Amino acid sequence: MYKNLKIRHKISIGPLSSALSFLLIILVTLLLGRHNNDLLEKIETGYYPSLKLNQNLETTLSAIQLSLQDAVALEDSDVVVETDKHRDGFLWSLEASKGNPVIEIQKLNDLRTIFEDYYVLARRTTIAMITKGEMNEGLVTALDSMTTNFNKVQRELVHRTGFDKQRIAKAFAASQDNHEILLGTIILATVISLLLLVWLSIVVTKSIIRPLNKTVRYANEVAKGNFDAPIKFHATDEMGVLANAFLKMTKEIGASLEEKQEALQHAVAAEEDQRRIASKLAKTNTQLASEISERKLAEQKLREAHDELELRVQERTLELTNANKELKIEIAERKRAKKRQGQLLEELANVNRELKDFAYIVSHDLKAPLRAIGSLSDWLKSDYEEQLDEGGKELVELLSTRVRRMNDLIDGVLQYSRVGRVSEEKVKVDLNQVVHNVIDSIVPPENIALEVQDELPTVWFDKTRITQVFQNLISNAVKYMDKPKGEIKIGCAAENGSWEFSVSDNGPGIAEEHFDKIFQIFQTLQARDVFESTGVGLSVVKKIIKMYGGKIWVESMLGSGATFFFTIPKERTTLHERDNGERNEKQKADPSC
Amino acid sequence: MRSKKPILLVEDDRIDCMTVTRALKEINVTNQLEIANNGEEALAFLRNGNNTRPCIILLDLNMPRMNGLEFVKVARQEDLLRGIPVVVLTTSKDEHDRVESFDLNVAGYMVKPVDYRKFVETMKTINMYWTLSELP
Repeated sequence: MYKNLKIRHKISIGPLSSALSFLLIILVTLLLGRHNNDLLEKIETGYYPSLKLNQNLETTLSAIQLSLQDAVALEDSDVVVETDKHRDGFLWSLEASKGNPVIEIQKLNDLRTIFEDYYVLARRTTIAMITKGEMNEGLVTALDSMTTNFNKVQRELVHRTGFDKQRIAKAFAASQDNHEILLGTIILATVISLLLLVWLSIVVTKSIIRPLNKTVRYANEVAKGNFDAPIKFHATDEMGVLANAFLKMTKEIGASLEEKQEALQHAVAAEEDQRRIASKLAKTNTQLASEISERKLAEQKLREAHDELELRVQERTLELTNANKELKIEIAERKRAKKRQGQLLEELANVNRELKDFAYIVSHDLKAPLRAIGSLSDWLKSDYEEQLDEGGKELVELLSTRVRRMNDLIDGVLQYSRVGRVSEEKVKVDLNQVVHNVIDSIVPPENIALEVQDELPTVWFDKTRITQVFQNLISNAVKYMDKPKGEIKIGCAAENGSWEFSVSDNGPGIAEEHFDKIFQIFQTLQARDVFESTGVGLSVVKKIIKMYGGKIWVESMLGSGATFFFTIPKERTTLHERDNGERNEKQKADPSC
Repeated sequence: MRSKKPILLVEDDRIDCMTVTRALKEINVTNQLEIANNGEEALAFLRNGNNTRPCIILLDLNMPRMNGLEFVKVARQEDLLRGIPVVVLTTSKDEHDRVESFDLNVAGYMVKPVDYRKFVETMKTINMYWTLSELP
């Protein structure tokens, strides 16, 4: 609100507020002073004389008592006259005090009554005592009531004295209070008016200084030539009016200055252009002259060069035509070669596929006649048991075992060729479960302890294939165990990006020169008559591991066991050697029986 | 066999025929054994009104002229033949053959073992089943 006030109004608030507070102080002083005067007057003319009167009366009463006692002692009735003077003084004092406004006349009258009662009785009794000279019963009674009356008067006086003292003290306290109120008012008024003055001086200074500073800043901008400096004055007071007037003026000056400057620039630019054109023209002229002479020279040279070039072009064209012919022949040859290469590749792929299927089909077909031989040898043995001698029976028996062996071999080939032939699907396989199942299915003899040493991972693999891998490795370790207390351990370790598995045993071990041989199909280290084995298991394991992008190897010491290691990549990789195409067709063509 | 009707064996291999004959004799199956060398012969036998309808057909898959599966397909079309149970006897462990056979509602699928003794066991099992099971 005060923002909208003019500065002169703001300034006049100061003295106005001071004058008001002074007025307040004077008013309060007057009021309180008057009250105090009243109090003091009351004390001076009322309470204090009243107190004085009471004290006088008390003294007089004591004097009367003493005089009467003296009279009795001296037995002199004249003394009583003296006492009467005291009485008169007492009564006069009472009457004189009736003009005092703070004393109730009724009370004075009451006091007079009880005093007179006392005095009359006391005087009479005293005179009686003096005249009679001795005590009797009546006198004693009179003395008693005299004493009672005396006490009454004295009590009343004491009471009044106390009352007066109290009243005086109260009046003084009220006066003191008034002083304090006055002092408080003065301090409060002074503080308020001082605060008001300080606040006003700040407000006024602000409303003068701020626009002034702004104007100075703006003036500096203008001095730099910037007439569009952002500035705005909100104040509606004199400073605001002044600043806005200044703003308007500078803007107008700025606008006119700009116009003039622009005009000047235009003029300067025009002049510059003219000068440039003129000098350019002059330069162009001289250039043209020299160019014309150069061109003439160049034309001459060009003609000569042209003649020479034509000759060379003819020669070159001849050469190119020849080269082109040769190139065409070469391209045709290359095309033929490429086509041939494609055909060869396709043939190779076909041959490869046929070879794979061939192994499968042949082994399948071999089984039918083999079965026939098996049956026939069986019948030979049972039907002609009596005709055959021991040698004959042994031959037939050998025939049967060879049939079984051949069947096993064919099964092995089938198994081997089926790896990668039948569709394989990578799924998440928990190897803990796989190995557990394998061990369950093998049912190792009691003298062989099988132990899975590490927590096995979950891998992406075809479940049947990974089962086959563990099945073959573990069953080999069990099958070839030659120690009375066999130990087979299965382990696993993470090796940069792969899982490395191991199957180790304390069996017979393998000589180093056989490390490669054992992974080849049909390769066995012992004669089949000694140890029945097809030599397919490890080759199948190797084929599976290689197909899934892993490695397999063996470490062994002859006599103290062997450890087979293989790796499986942790990443989910694509299968190697997959060929799904035309498989179904081939299967249809398989001769079944 | 519960029934005394003949058994029809559809098989082209002479020794396989001998094998079945011997095995049945060995396990004392007295039903008469009729042999057809391929699907066509089997159909001809079945369609001939003079022949007694067999109680069961033992069927090889791989045969010349008309193979086992083709035979079953035709047989299933004919009312008279539909009710006869067919047990496939084959060397093929092929998934494809097995699935197709059961698609054609065969009563059983047996893989012929190389060992004759095992074959006898297989035949014993077939006999036992069809002795316990009611026939149509």
